[in-house]
Amino acid sequence: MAKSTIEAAASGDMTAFEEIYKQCSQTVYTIALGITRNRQDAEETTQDVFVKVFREIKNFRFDSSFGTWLYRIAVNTAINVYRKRTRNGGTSLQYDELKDTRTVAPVIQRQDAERHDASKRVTALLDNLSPEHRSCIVLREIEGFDYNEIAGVLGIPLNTVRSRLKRAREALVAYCRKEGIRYEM
Amino acid sequence: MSLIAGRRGFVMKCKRINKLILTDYIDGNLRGDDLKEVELHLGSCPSCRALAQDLRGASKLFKGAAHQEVPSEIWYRIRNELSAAPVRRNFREAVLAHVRYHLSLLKPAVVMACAAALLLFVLAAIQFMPYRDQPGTTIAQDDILAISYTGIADEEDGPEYDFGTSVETFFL
Repeated sequence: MAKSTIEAAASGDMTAFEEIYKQCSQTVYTIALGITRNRQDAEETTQDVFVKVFREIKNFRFDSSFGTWLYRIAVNTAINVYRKRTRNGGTSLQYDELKDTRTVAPVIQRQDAERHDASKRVTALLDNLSPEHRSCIVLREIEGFDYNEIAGVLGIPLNTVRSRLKRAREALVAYCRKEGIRYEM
Repeated sequence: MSLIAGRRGFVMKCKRINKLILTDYIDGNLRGDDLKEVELHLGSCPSCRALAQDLRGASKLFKGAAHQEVPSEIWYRIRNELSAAPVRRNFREAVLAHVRYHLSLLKPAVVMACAAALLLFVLAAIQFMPYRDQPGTTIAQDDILAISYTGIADEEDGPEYDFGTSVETFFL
């Protein structure tokens, strides 16, 4: 992210802020969806994150990467939204609802169906993890962040990243074996 | 006894290798001797091999579910929320940042072309600009040239210059 774009957004320039949104919203939304496992909550989280970012961006001092700062807000907001919902007895919705694919070409229908199937399995896998372990797995497996980036976003030491990933993956493998989930290799 | 100790040693090693498989090995961070050790162990331990295979499979599932499209209406909701309660900013800083940002959007080639065009325009303007009297001077440059070429100008050839009195100097 260019420094001039961040500075312009910090001074209230909506064009610059929209540029930031375009570059980062997909990652924010995917993180939110991975942690909350609920589309409505993920949308609410994404909206909250960018409103917070717009209001707080003037306090960003370039000590860390802008992405690290933004995604940390995203993870914390998503965990808060998730906890609020579970406290209120809310239920987890499907990660990816079936779309009406009647008017879509057959190849795209097949791709959508495969993606939906993968998403359903991911929902089931992530349901078995705590929000902290889930955020670690989402950043690593879905967003492809390295250990240093994860440590920066979550604000935890490198060895804690390792131990969280280890425990999360142990839980995932145990669940897959118990449920007989098979993967195409 | 040595068989039990050997078995215990293998299990200990398995535990250590398991930890590496679950983290740095599966994420491709292992290099050199550590990587060789894990691969050697995987060749002889079916349990660790199965773990590595299951982890790769789970990783593939996550990759299949990546890239979630962001609903387009989220941006409009954000914009509406922000315009409903605008944030107060320092006006001067806002203008400067706005200018800096929009200048940064310009491509270097476009900036160079604009600079070259501006330079050519300035040079052309200097070249073809008609001479104007400088403020504060009392004699036109053309007239001085006329004097220097012809010596003292004749009454028939040109204007007569007479700066003998302070009154004339005042009104010139």
